[in-house]
Amino acid sequence: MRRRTAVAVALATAAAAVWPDVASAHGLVGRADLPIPSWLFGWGASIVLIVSFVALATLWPQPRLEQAVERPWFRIPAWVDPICGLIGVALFGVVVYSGLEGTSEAMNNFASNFIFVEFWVGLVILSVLFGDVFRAFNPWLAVGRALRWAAARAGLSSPVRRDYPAWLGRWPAVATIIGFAWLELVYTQKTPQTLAWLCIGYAVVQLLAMAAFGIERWVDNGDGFTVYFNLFSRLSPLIRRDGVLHLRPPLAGVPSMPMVPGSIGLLCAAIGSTTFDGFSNGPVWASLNPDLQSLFKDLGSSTNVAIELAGAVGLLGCVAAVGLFYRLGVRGMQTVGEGYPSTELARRFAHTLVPIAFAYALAHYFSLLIYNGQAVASLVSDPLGDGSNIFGTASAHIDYGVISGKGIWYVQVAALVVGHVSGLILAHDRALSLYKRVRDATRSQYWMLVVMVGFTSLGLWLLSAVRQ
Amino acid sequence: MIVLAHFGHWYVSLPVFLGPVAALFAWVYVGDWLEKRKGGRRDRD
Repeated sequence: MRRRTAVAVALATAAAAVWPDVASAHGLVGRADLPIPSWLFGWGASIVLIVSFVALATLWPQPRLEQAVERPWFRIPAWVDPICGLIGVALFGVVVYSGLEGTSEAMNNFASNFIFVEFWVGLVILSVLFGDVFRAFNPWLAVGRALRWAAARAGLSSPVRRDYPAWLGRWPAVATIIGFAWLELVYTQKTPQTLAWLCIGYAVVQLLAMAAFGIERWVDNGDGFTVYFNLFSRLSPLIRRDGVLHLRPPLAGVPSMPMVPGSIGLLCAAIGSTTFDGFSNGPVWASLNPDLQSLFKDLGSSTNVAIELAGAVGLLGCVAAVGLFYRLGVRGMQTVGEGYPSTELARRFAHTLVPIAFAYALAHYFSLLIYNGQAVASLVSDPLGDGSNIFGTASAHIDYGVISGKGIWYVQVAALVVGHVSGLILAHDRALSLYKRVRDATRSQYWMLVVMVGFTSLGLWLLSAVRQ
Repeated sequence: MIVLAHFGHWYVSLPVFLGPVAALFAWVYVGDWLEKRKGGRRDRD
């Protein structure tokens, strides 16, 4: 009991170090007015992680998440799926139509805002809160299923199916996520028209792949966005099984994530692309980027191509750096206990990166969602940017006072700390079920603690570099 | 070479931010090394 009290006091002290003066954090205050230097937040966050690690080692002696029980809640009516699918297809149609027919100014076109804010960022948060939302509204999945239903009604045989190659795993999803991040962060010609054509092209590729490999098999492995949002839905306390919505403890869906080929690559791509978003807005990239561009220009590239190639190098470099850092942690773990091969350990502990990917996404894109997300109110009334006012909300403005810069910083720090503590919990739980001796399980996690503290410090450094 | 030279002037903030990571890494690495040494001695005895 005394030990529990001591751990609780230590946790409270560490939390106070990270969130000082939070009660007075109100009003329009910039992040420059933070009560302590931003690096101290990094040190405070590290202390929280170390204290959490000690608390886990002493208070969490049995695996609890590996075999967590799901409780059925209610059956989802059969009509929900077609309705959600129809909404998904309609939204897809609106996005493509506004992209093709609307203004080429991205700020005033519904397509650009919807794709980069509501879809890319908003769906991540919705997935964590409500489960696999995108799967329900996925437009190409809805069209694929509708075509299958229509073909069955007409007595037509399904197209020739090929076995989905096991080695391909989630690699198509990795390529999709890296490609989308490159499009968002690097590509210089991303007009709403280009985005609309890319949406059409992506949907066509998905339908062809579904026809070749089977709808569910392709969507579960190769459809980058379904796979990406499904990652985050594993953090959710809600899961749908056989038409019934189940409740489960938060994080309990992550350990059961199937580790098919490309899974680690996908997680590194998710974290690395967000890392590059922060890195590319910081001073180091601002100094490095011009010389990289000059290098490509010297090799004969045009200015735009040189910018895009330099960005691609930066993006891939960040993804590789994340993978390398994780591998270093795994190599350290290998020296402990039964001496599992590093590839086995990398596979067994990769799921611990899921909450980190969410923490990075939330921390980096929170301000985008909170500010630019408001623009959807005016854009639904004027999706083409031609001055129409369909729902009477076209004159709605973005309220930048909805949260202060200081408030955003606190949300970012909290997201990173909570995400990494969740990663530690998952790693500790897995180690307890993997190692025969509790002592080995704890010792192996020293290395995961280094990885988690490293990702937290890196995340805070990137965010603090952006604000300078 | 010019591109690589940029890695020479990382901002002071990075090592400051990564201070706890370096300290933890050193502690875990040395701990592992001591553990192995102890295990080696036990085997010899």
